[in-house]
Amino acid sequence: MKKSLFALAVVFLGVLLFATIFGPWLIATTGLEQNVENILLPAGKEHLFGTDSLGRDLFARVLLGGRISLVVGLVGSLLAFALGLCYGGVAGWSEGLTDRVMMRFCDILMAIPSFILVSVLCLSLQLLLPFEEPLTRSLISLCVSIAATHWMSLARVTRGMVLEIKRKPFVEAAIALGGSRSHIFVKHILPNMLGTLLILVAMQIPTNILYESFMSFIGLGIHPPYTSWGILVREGWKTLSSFPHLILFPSLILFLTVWSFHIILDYVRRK
Amino acid sequence: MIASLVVLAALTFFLLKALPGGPFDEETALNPLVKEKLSEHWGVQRSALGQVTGYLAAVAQGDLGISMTKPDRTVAEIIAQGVRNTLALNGIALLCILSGAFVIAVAAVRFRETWVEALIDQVVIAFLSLPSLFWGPLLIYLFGFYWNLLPVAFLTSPMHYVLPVLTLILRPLASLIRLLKNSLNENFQMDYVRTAKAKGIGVWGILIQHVLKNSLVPFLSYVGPLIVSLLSGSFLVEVLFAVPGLGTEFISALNDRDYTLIVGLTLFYGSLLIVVNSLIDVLLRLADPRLKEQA
Repeated sequence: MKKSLFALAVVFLGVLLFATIFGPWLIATTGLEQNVENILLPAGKEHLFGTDSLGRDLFARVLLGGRISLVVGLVGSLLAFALGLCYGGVAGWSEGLTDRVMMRFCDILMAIPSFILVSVLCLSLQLLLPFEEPLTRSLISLCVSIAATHWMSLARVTRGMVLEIKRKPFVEAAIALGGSRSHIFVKHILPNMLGTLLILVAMQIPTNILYESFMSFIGLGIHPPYTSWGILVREGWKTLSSFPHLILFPSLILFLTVWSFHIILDYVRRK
Repeated sequence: MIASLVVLAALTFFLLKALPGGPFDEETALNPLVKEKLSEHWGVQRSALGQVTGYLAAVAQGDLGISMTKPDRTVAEIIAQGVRNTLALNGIALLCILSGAFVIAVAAVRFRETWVEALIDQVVIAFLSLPSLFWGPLLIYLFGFYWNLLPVAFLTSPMHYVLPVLTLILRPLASLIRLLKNSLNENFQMDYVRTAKAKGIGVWGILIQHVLKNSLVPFLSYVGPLIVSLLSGSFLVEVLFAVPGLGTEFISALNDRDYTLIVGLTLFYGSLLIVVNSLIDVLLRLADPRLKEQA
């Protein structure tokens, strides 16, 4: 059962990735054109997921929104990875007082409920960033605010592993042979912890996707007319009682995506 | 812990301070004199440091200031009004999670290596990925509109609690079951379990009398993070179910740029968590005397 679920999840994510990257070019409608004659159609042959209150094709909009949601998921976790790796690497390498102070700071940040920080950070960044394009501004502030509040556990794991690997004979040998610090870190320490770290980074992706939809839903993330899964859910929420399909399809895709990530990660971790 | 609170308050305050535009910018064509008087009244013309110290001095006396968008209400009043609903909702959810997780995790370990455990594992993963953005509207539509069984907004009667609590507990419950199950499984392989088996105690007896007690410590230390995740989940649930609580206030404050209310609520959440975490520390020491010796 586990194996078939795993296979299904991989296939689903693969199809989703392909569809969100190439779909908006392949299908006839972009999901942006409005059509007054076709508003609020139910799901059917012509419009796979139906149409919204402005007559836009929901299927195309889900694909279009998926681009933004997935980008936030990926970029946010890569940023968190970079931050955590640098911070944890420095702390683990230097040990002593520096290490203690750095880790203490990490603990302090970890005790703060991340939702509060993400929302306050995201709100301020959107108003502070100097980009003209509103989409760039919301995308960057979402990624940065999520990364800025989720790098701590990565930093902790990195520090622990650096401390451990540093004591191994092959690192001592490299030091004795006169290898520079950056050489030892990149060539000897990093490859030995990359596997564990990559799993942690991948685990961050579904969390980020959920954060994006949540922030856009409450009005702090992406703003219309741009679209993301959060925006689609927000739009569908307004007409829940009479046109439930408008919220069903985007949120179902959101759920299936996050679920697939969890199934795959659970499977990989057990291996 | 106190350090977290200070960092949180300072971060929030300076981030909001750094924002361009002031609270009086959006009003149409204010007389400069009026604007100056307004700024003076709210104290926003002082230096940032002056504002922080002034604010902290006031907070130390229990005065969180007045809401900037609802000038007839103080922040403390708004918090006092919202806190009842939020605490009731989260309290009930916490009780449901704790009891539910115990029953399901013990059942999973009792029937380990059978289809029951495999099923529970997969359902837990599915529930872990179920966002309340999907689950909440689905419940509202099915129970509220389609079958017309349960009320879907406000918290005025016990029936009103059913759907929000269901939405709120789903993910924390799943993660707690996973944690408790792992911890029970680990203990189940210990030598003392074999001894107990040899003495002829049944599987249920071993689980409940021996293993459960030893799995209590990792479980208790998870209650702190559990409450944090409940409170975070509560933001969305309160918005979905129109619960007049702290979460709804926080989100509308963010959208309205009500600085005093944002900082006040942030501080309140921070202190609430400090109290909860200290309580759990005490409980942990009671449950495991070894921790007391270490400290």
